Formats: sequence, C-alpha cells, structure tokens
Amino acid sequence: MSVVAATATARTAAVTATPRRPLGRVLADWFRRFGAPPSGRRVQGTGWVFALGCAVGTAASYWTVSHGTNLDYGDAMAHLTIARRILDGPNPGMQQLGTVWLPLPHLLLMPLTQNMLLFRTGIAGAILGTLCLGIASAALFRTMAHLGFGAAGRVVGMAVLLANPSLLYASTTALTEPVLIAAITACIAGLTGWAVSRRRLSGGELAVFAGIPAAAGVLTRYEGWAMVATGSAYVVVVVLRRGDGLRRALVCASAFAAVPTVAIGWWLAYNTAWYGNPIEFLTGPYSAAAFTDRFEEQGQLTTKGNPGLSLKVLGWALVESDGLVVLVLAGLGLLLMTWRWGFDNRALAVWLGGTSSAFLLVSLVSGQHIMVNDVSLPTGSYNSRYVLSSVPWAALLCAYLVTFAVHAGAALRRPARRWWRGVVAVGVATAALTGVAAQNVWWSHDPTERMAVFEEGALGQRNFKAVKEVAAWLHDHYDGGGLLIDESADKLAVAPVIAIDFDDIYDRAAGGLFYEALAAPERHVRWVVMHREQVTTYATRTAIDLVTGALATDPQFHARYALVYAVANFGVYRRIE
Amino acid sequence: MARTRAAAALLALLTSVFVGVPPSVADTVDVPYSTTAFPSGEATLTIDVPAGVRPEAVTGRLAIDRPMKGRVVVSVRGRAALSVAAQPVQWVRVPVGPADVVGGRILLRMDLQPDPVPGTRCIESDASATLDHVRLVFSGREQPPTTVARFLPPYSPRVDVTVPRDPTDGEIAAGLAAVAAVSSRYPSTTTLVVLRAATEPPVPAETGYRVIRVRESGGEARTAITTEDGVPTLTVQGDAPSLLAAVRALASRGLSLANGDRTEGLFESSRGSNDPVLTRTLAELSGADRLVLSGYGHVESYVGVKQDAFGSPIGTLDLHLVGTHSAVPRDARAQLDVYVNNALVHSMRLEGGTDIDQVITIPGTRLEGVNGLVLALSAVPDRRSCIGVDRPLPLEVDIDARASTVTATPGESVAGLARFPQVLGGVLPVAIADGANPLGSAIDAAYVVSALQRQAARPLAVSLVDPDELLVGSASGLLVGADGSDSSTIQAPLRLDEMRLIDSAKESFQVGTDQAFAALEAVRTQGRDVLLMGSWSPVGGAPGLSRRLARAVEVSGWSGLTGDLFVATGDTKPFTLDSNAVVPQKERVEEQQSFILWLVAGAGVLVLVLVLRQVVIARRRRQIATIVDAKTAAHPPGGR
Repeated sequence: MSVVAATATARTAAVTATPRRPLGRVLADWFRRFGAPPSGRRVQGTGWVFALGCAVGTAASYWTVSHGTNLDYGDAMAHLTIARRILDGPNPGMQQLGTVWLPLPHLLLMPLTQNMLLFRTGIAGAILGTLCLGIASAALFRTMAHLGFGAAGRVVGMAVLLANPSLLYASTTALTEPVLIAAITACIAGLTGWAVSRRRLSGGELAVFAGIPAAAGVLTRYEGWAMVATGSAYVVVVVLRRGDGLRRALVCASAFAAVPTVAIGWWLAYNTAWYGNPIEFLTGPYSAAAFTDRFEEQGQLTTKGNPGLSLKVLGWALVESDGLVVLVLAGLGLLLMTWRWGFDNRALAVWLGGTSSAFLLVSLVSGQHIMVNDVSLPTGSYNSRYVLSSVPWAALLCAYLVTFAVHAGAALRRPARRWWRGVVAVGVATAALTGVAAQNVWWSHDPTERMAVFEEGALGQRNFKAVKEVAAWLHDHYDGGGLLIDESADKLAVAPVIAIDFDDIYDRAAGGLFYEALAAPERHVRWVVMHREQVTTYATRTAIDLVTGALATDPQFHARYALVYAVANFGVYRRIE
Repeated sequence: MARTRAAAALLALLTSVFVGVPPSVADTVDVPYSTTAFPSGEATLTIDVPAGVRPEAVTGRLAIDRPMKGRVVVSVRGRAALSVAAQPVQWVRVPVGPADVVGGRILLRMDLQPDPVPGTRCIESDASATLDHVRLVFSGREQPPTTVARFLPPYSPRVDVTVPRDPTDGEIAAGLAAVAAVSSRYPSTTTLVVLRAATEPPVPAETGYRVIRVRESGGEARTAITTEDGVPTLTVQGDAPSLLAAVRALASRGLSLANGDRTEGLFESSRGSNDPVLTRTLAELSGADRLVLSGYGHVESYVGVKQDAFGSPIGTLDLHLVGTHSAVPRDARAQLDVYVNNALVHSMRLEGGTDIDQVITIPGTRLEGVNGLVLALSAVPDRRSCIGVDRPLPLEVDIDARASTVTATPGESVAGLARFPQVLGGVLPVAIADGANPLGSAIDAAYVVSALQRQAARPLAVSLVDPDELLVGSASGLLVGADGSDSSTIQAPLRLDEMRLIDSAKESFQVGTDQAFAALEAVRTQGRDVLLMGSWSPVGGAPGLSRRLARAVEVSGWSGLTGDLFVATGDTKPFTLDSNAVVPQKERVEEQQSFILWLVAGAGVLVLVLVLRQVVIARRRRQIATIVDAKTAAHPPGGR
C-alpha cells in the first residue's frame, strides 16, 4: 500500500515538475496536428471541426432567432409548415410533402417541428441548419486532408466556409441550402477519400461514404441530381486511370449511383402514387416550370436562352454571396491548381465542387430556374441564395492557393527549415484571412444592400410585415373553433407565426375538408383569414387566394362573420356568436 | 359677306382692346408664398406690389390643421384688417389700400388666437393656421419696367424667351440659359417660363407677363427694353459668347446695378466656384440668422435643404444645432423635436442648462432630393401658473442659424430622376440629338431646364454641347430629341423602341408594343448621369408626345418625378415609373449575350495553362531522357 502511495506521489511530483511548454510551441503542435495527413479513413480533427461548425452555427442561430430574422424568408416558413403538417393536421400523411420541393429537408425537420416552440420560433430550422453546417465543415476538412492540403490551407478553407455571413444566415433558417451543401460536401469527401485511398475500397464502401450523401442531395435539391452524374463520371475516370478496366469502372459507378438512383425512383414512385404522374414535380401546377412560366409570359425570364445574361446574373450572385476577395483567391487557386495538377484525380475532385454552379448556369439558360439580382433584367432580389452551394468549392480553391503559396514560400529558403515553413504558413494564412475579414467588414457596413441573401431576407421582412402582424394578432386572440385560411395564397404561408394546433386549420393541405369549409364556413370554423381584395400580382395562379375568391364578395359571409382585425389587405374575420 | 366683314372688324377691334393691353379694372396676381402662424407667435408675409397699380385686397385660403376654438387676426401696419373665427378651411379677403404699401411692399401679420382653456389663462392648442393660395387684388395698369434691373417683376404668370424660327446654336444656348436664369428668379411653378419662336404671337397680356428676345449678332451683348403688343420685352443681342453671358446675368443678384433701359456688355461678374461645399449654415439654407420657437403648445420652424446646395449627391447629413433655450420653469415641460421629411430624427428634452449644442446624423434612407427640416418645440406650462394672478414664464428656443450647420457626406441616398440636379454640380450641358428638329427639341429642353433649375439651389450654367459629349463622352447633362439609336448607345434603361409594361406594374394602363410614347429617362452609365428625352412610334419619333411630356415636367415640378422614367403615351396623363416595370426589351437582353465571352476567356486561359503545362512536362521528360541516355552511354551495361 505504501509502495503504491509512494509511486503515486512520485508521479504527481513528476507532473508538477514538468516545465510548461511555451504557448508558441503548443500552437505549433496544434497547427501541425490540424494539418496532419489522414491515416487511412481516419482524419485527425474531424470531430473538432464538426463541433466548431456547430458552435459557429449555434452562435449565428442565437443571433437570428433572437432577432426573428430566421423567419424572414417566406420559403423558410413554408418548409417548417410542411414538415409539421406531415404528422399534425386534419389530413396528415406523406402526401403533405407535396411536389413543390424535394422531401428530405421536410423529413429531417419533421420531428423537430412537432414541438410548438421549435416550430414557432424557427429553432427547428436552426437546429437542422446548424447540424448541416457542422457536417459540411467536417466534410470539407476531410476533403482538404485527403487532397494533401496543409494546416494553413485547411484553416483558410474553413474560414471561407464558416465566416461566410450569407451561408451562416441560411444555416439558421429552414431553407434547403444547408442540407444541400452538407450533402454535396459529404459526397465529395467520400469520393475524394475513395479516390486517394491507397487501399482499393469496395463498391459498398463507395456507396456508403459517397452514395448515401449523394442520395441525400438528390432528395434535397435538383443540383444533387447533377452531382450524381458528375460523381459517377469521376468514379469512372479514376478507375480507368488505375487501369482496372471499363467493367470495374462501371461497377464502381453503379455502386456510387445505386443509392441515389433508388432515391430518385422513390421520388418518381411518390409522384405516381399521389398524383398519378411520375413527373408531377416537373409538370404539375406547383412545379418550378409552372412557376417560371408566369415569369416567361411576362417577359421577365430573360436568362432563358441567354447564356451571357445567365452568366452575368450568376456571377453577380456569386460576388454578393461568396465575396469578391474569396472569388479572386479561388480564381488564382484554380489557375495554379490547373498548372500543378492538370486534371488529375485530385483536381477533378475539386472540380466536383463546381457541379452545382454549373447546374445553376444551365438551369438559368434553359429557363428551369429564375434568379433576380442587381444585374438581371429586370432587377430585384430573388433566389440568389442558390449560389451558396458554391462556397465549399471556393473554399477548396482558396485552400489550394494557400497550400501552394506555403510550399512556394518555404522553397525560397534552402535548405528549408521547419521554423521557416511555419513562419511562411502563418504569414500566408494570415494574409488570406485578412482578406476574408476585410470582405466581411465591407459587407457589414450595408449587409442588406451588399449581400443578396440578406437583401432578399430584408425584402421578405418588409413584404411579410403586414401579414405577420395579422398572424401574431390571431395567435394572441385565437380561442379555438377552427381557422379557414388559404396558406398557398400569396404571402399567407405564416403558419409558424399563427402557431396554433394544425388540427384546427382548414387549408388546401386539408384536402376535401378545406373545400367543405370554403362552401359553408359557418359550419366548420370560427375564424377566417384572407386577403380582403383578391391578389392580382402573383407568380403562379396557385397564389390566388381561394378563400377570398369564395367569400370576399359574399354578403351572407359578411353577415355571419365580422372583420375583427386587419392590416393592409389582410383581414381576420370571426364568426358572430 | 358685308356682315361677316363687320363681325371680323369688330372682333379685331375687341382683340386690339382686350388682348395685349393690361387691364385697368380689378385684376389679380398670384403670390407664390404662404405663411404659417402658431398660437404663441405671429407670422408675417411680405407682398410686393407691382409698380403703378392700386392694391385693393389680399385673398387666400386660410386653413387650420387641427380643431380649435379661437380667431385668426390679420393686421396690416398695425391695423386689424381681418378677424375671423378659426375654421378648418375658409377663403379670406384682407382689404388693403395704397396706404398700406411701404417701399413697394405690403407686410401682413397673421396671429392665431386660440381661446384659453376654460377657467385658466393658458393656451393649450397645437393647431396652426396657414395662409396659402395668396393673390393680390389690385386695380390700375402696371407701369412698364424701364430698367433691366426691374424688368423681371416680383411675381409673374409667365415669361417667354424667344429665339428666331431658325435659331443658331448660340441662340439656342442663350435661350436655354435665359430660361434657367429666369426660372431661378421664380422658383414657384406659378410662373411659366417657356422658350418659343419669335414668330409665334405672345399670349394675351397679364400683369407681370414678360418677353425676353434673344438674337445673335456681332459684337458685345446689348440689351434694350421695349413694349410690344403691350408686353414689356427685353431684347438681348450680341455674339454667341457674350449673348450667353448676358442672359446668364439675368439670374444674378448683381443685375440690380443695371439701372438703365439699355445696357452694353452685360455679363455675370462672378458665378462662384462649382466645387462642392459640404457644409452649409442654417442661415445660408433658410435665409434667416435666427430660428426662434417660442411659447407653449406646438411651434415649428421649417428649413428647406436641397442636396444641390452641397454641390454633389449626398449620402448622409450631419445637423449641428447650436442655440439657447430659456430656462424651463419648474413643473413645465418642453422638448425640441427634429424632423426630416416628416420623419422624427431626434428629440431632446429641454431641462437643466440653457445651451443647445447637438449633432444629429440623418441617414441616407431619410433623404430626398429636396428635404424638409422641421424644428418643433412642444411645451406644456405649469398648470398652477395658468390660474390666479400668476402667469406662465416665457419659453423660447433660439437657434443661432449662423453657427448651426448642415454637413453633407457625399454618397447616393436617392436614385433615378431624383438624383438630378445635384449630380450636375451646377453645370448643365444640353445636347440636341443628331437629326432632331433644333427648335422643337430646344423648346422641349427648356421645360426640363426650367424644372431642373427650380429644384437647384443655385443658378445652373447651361450650355449647348455636341450630342456625342453626352452619348459617348464623360459629361453629365441633358440630351433631347433622342431616338432608338441614341438610347442604345447610351444604354438607357428604356430603349426608344417597342415596349410593354409588366402586368404587375401598379399603373392601371397598358402600353402596347405598337403604341407611340415619349420618355424622359435618368441614365446612369460609366459613373455619370444623363437625362435622355426622346420618343418612339412605329413610324419614327413622336414629337407631339415629347412636347406633352416636357410640359408635364414643368407643371409637375421636378420633385414630382420618381423612379427613373417619366413616360407619355397617346391617351394617358404622363406618369413616372421604374424601368423595372417595363418588360426588358429584346435589344437590352440581347446585349448581354456578349458576357458569355468571359466564360470563354476563362476556359481559354485554363486550356492555355494546360497546354503550357504539357509542353513543360514534355520538355522535362526529354531532358531526363537525355540525361539517362547520356549516363547510359557513359556507363553502358556490362561495360565495366
């Protein structure tokens, strides 16, 4: 016993006697570990980077939720509403997923939105977005490690991702961009890890580490579908370069694409089952095509058939979302990467990051998407946030540039010393980070004018101000009895602000019950919310308020219901009892 | 036939009697001013009386902005000329006579007298009384002016500037400069200032109507005053440069030195610098050395702040208020509020010390081209001082307008047409597009010049320039008579070509693709701002619409123009709109195609990098192969 005690005492004394390492040495060690090459599938620091991403996302969420700006986008409120409706409401079920958007973000939000607090405050979206930011951070970090980027490059790459105000904002909302970015970066990380692995990974591993993220992307946004195509091509090229033959290449590509293909199949089956049309999402009244048709009729879909204007609009959105400094650094990185790596497997992995941007350009030219900003015709603020999926690509290219600069700088002194390399790395990283910081400072002086994502948010805040006032009043005064509202109508997707039990809400999602209530509201609902005058400016005909159409000019309705609150064109009616 | 001739002769006789001869019976002239009185202080209004006439009354609309009981008293030379019960709106007539004229002017004092609160002696009304739509009623005939200094009367319904039917460039430049100069003398739209051909007959004469005839001839500028068709006419002639200088002098304060009916070598001695002056005192902006707000209730003082006063577009304003307020009596309360364009920007409670020294920053979002700065004193007296023998102590805020300043930070707080005239920096180059009718376009331009001048804080230096200086040069200015080609060259937001409005545009009308239209556009291109006016119709231009549009600019005043387009179509009242409300025209969309070259160039650079890379790699491989071959040759296998 005494021996054990003596040993412990000696150990304690030894620990106490160990001199403290200087801070510089500690940082240098940390820097080295942060830039350590991967060991097989293990990349040191992944967990910490995931935690960092979540911490940054949490801080951003705290700010936006406390200011209420996380619900500025109408789409964000709509996503929350759809997610809750799957389990709550007079007509719950998978059909509530609809066809306007792909289903995964709603399915991921579904459990969170069942809690009224998380639903009403939008924290449900912030939680999902924050987790996605953590995943994207970890995936980007792993990709950089697989590509051989040093610590300085990785630090800058992470800074480009995590210091992007537009991406951080989106990550605090229920918008779909964070899910897409997480899926894309995870897919690229999986493909890169597979491509550079010294061990021949099996098709199953490829399916798990790259195919499943790709499937998540497929079920999130159509950019994910393009990712499957470019990812498959990448797999084929890598296998052929290894000399494993076309058959092996096709097997691997199939392994990669299997899960996404199943996902696509499920989506087509869902459309067939509920709408009798496998491509309802392409051709239905709520499809993107129906949405852009209206713009085309009005002569506003000017990017269609115009690659020049499409590129200009997309480019401007990139400038206002990624930042000019980042884009310049990324451009230099692209040139240097092409010079050094050509189109080898590593370079092609980086190019995969550009898939979504290329897809957007094609979509704009083909008229599948509409994007409006300061340089579009006409000008405005709409959908520029789509380009946020380019941020990881820009981050990779910036990281490459820094890695290259560190190598080049270290080579200036022969023979290269460790300390010199460290000095160069810190210097280059500091210079790049200063540029990123300067960009953010410039943005911060007028965020709603200089950043398209914030500008659209501010516009949404203004546009929804009146209806949110109405919704908040209804939330405070609702005393049961049912609510008739056409949430699909222009600017009425404010269920998170109304925040009442969905079982009480008769809207289009309620199916036949909605039309029954529309025909005889007094038998079903105590409350009615509608536009007091019919909507005349709308993107699609689905924005027309069916409740207004049925009741606004009905004298008997006005004899039975009293207008109890109104702001602008929005009115709250209560049954006279 | 004889009867017809007799009727014609009678008509001619009547015309000669009633047209072109000033009336000798009671007549009126608009006085383009108003005055506002608050309960605690009187307001004044000075009315100039045309020479030679006998004033009989001053009429106007008297409006009380809030319900109150009391009276409004208007006095002249200490005499209560009018006392009426306060009503929301009433038309009043204040009798005046020649004895009320002092130094050619009548000074009206208006006093708003609310009834005290029952049982007290305190007045607690926030109401104010405004006298506007003021007219001077007089009899007799206006005495024609005899000197250049007095040629332009204090009030005028209309001033015509005439040029020959086939004017030279010098005459057009001088005519437009004369329009600007005269407009600067008459800032209200109640005075119509037009450019016309000398061959057109004058309109029926009214008191104050004037004609300025501009004619290019050799030598120095000369002026002469005559009366033609009963209308006082100032003829200015000389060579082009001196003609331009002479008409510009009409805006000058130094014109009062021209005390003869004829002058030679008239020119403006000093226009001052066109450099931006970013700080102006309130005295410069308001014309008063002090802004005094006194009494209980609500009292306001208004100061107009034009962006142009600072010589450039402004982003934000810093208002530095310096002044003194009287000690606020115990239990009384008072606060000074500052409004800009009806928005509250600052509020300070008056208590403690008596000094006011406050800097207030006004963000760009609150600013317009012309801004209304209002200082408002709201005060409540000590209730105890309203009863018994005691009485409330006086309360007053005295702002030192010479020490108080408004400092501008250059920037862009407004867009579109509202950026003018401040973006011009006091200089207005005007160009007439190639192929346009010079006189017709100049007449159109004159309406725009007049409206711009009235929005400006100082006389604009108008000149005529070659259209290319505006189309492809670096100058800001006004281009008139433009066609589709010009609008394309300058990349105007609305091409003068087929167009239609987006369905969701707020306007209730539709403009079809084949409907003629005229447009005044604010074009911002390559860091400068150009106003472009032109028209389009399926068969070419539409000069009639251009004229209608130009007149509408003059009538509405520049401050009535919003957005970046002002458009006239065949059957609608001219309207303003944003170019975003127009379906993007095919030409504008097609112009953007070339942007794809950036992508091509980027791809080209990458391909070039790849090719260079391959070349370098191939060379390196050859070098290595050479070295290996050499080593192999030096040490052949088995050669040991």
